[in-house]
Amino acid sequence: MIKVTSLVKKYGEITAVKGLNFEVKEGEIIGFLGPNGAGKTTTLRILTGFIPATDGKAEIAGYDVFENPLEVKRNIGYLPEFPPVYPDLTVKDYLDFVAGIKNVPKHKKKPYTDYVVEKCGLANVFNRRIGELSKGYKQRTGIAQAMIHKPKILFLDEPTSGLDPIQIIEVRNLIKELRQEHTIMLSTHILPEVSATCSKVLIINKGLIVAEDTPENLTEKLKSDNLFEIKIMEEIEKAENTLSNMEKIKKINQKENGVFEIETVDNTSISDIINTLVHSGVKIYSVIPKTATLEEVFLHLTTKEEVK
Amino acid sequence: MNNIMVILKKELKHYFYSPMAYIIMAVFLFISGYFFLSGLDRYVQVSMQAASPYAGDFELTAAMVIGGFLGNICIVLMFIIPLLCMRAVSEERKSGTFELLMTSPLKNWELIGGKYLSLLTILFILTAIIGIFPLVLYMIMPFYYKTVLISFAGFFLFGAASIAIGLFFSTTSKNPVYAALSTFAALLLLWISSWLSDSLGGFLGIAVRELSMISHINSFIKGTLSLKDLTYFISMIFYMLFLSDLYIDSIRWRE
Repeated sequence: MIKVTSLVKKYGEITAVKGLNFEVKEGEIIGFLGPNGAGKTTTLRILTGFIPATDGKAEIAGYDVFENPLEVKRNIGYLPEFPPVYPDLTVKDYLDFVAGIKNVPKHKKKPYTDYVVEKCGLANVFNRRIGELSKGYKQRTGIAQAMIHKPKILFLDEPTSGLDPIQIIEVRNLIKELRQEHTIMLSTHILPEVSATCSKVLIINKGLIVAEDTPENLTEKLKSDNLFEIKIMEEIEKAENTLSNMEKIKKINQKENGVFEIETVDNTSISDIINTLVHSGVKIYSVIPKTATLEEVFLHLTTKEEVK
Repeated sequence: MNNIMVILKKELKHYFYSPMAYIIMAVFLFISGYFFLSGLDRYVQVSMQAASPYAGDFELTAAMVIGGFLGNICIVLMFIIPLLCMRAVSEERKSGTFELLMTSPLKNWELIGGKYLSLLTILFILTAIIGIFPLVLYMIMPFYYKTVLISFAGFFLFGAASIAIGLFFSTTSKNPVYAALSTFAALLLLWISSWLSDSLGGFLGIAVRELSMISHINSFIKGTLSLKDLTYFISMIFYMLFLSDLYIDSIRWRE
């Protein structure tokens, strides 16, 4: 559905996107994750045909974005970071207008509008001016606008930004529901959003993809038997000394008194470490293998990039 | 064509759902009403004097009264058009709806066309409103109406060209106020440049004079149809619309 090959975007001296490669299959929800300024919005803007790329190729639903922009635009729905609504129009007039410029045939306008109004829960504000609506309703109107012409692909730029927790859950559920009918690419800098909605994650930092996998696999990868939490009962100082002198340990982090978080060198058996600790007379209360949250994966990947 | 109608419909909703169109119409109606009345009054006073060359020749002078009136109204239009056009594209860019338009299967010229037609519709309404004045005059005392029709056509063409300029400047800025100021400055320059032509002289003087709107609207106001002046206004309209089209593309390359 989406195929991107060595996509580059330069703004004068600054390179916002430095050669992205990825592919999205039909029916996937792909999460585009990265800190602010990583190049997410830029990439989405290129894919939706809003701005041209400096170099590289992007194919949407079989059409090249640069050579066939009109065909691409017929097949996509796009929710920019700020919902593109007209405050002085009513929801009804607005959806009617969008259906018009998205070339929805006349006889399908009514059923398509009814469908998005029902899906996005806009029925009770249908005749109100958008300017009077709350942020949550504006955002929903924005989502309704993106899907009114039943596009094959939906691009959502930070769809939950600025919403309250209940609205966030509602929007996430809506996105999951939409999965049956659209391929979805959503960008976000909020991590739980990805684990809550996406089937695949692309982590982008400084214009480069640093990881591409399912949310579970990404978490699994960093777990990779290297992270442990060791709680010491007695001889805490001795434990600290012993641990910090061990070559097999990459990183130590004392979380609270007596609780150490360690990251071992690859292919190290934890029993070696426990043995050494026990031999030096330290009493261990517990050893827990840790699973990194997506947050840690994210930090790990992005900071690693910085060290390079 | 369908897309143009969709844009046109939406634009008219913007104007008529907000107080904008009504305020502009009210102000325009008030000022033009005042100008017409005072022009008519002056004419009546002059024609009362026995020695006046106008005395008794109502047919000719009605056209002159209306011509002079329309000349004044062109200046009023110069103030109103920047306000009318300022938000056309700049507001879309400011509020982010420009992204929606640019990611829809919509060609630039369809967007420009729809916006331009909506502004022309408002100009047409304004023209129709002031068309009532000569109509009333005609009902009291019929006169040679063809010259008056040409004057009105000239007025409409002047408005249409000014709107094209306003629309172009509206594409150039995210801030409607800047768009309005630049439009006003451009219209003012195009209006007064004929004054400069005398002091400049030579080829430059002619060029500056021919660029000025004032030198092209005069023939219409006097009631004569000149192909040269018609060409001036029509090419001005297409040139400015073409520039707007190009500018919209350039925004996307720079965004």
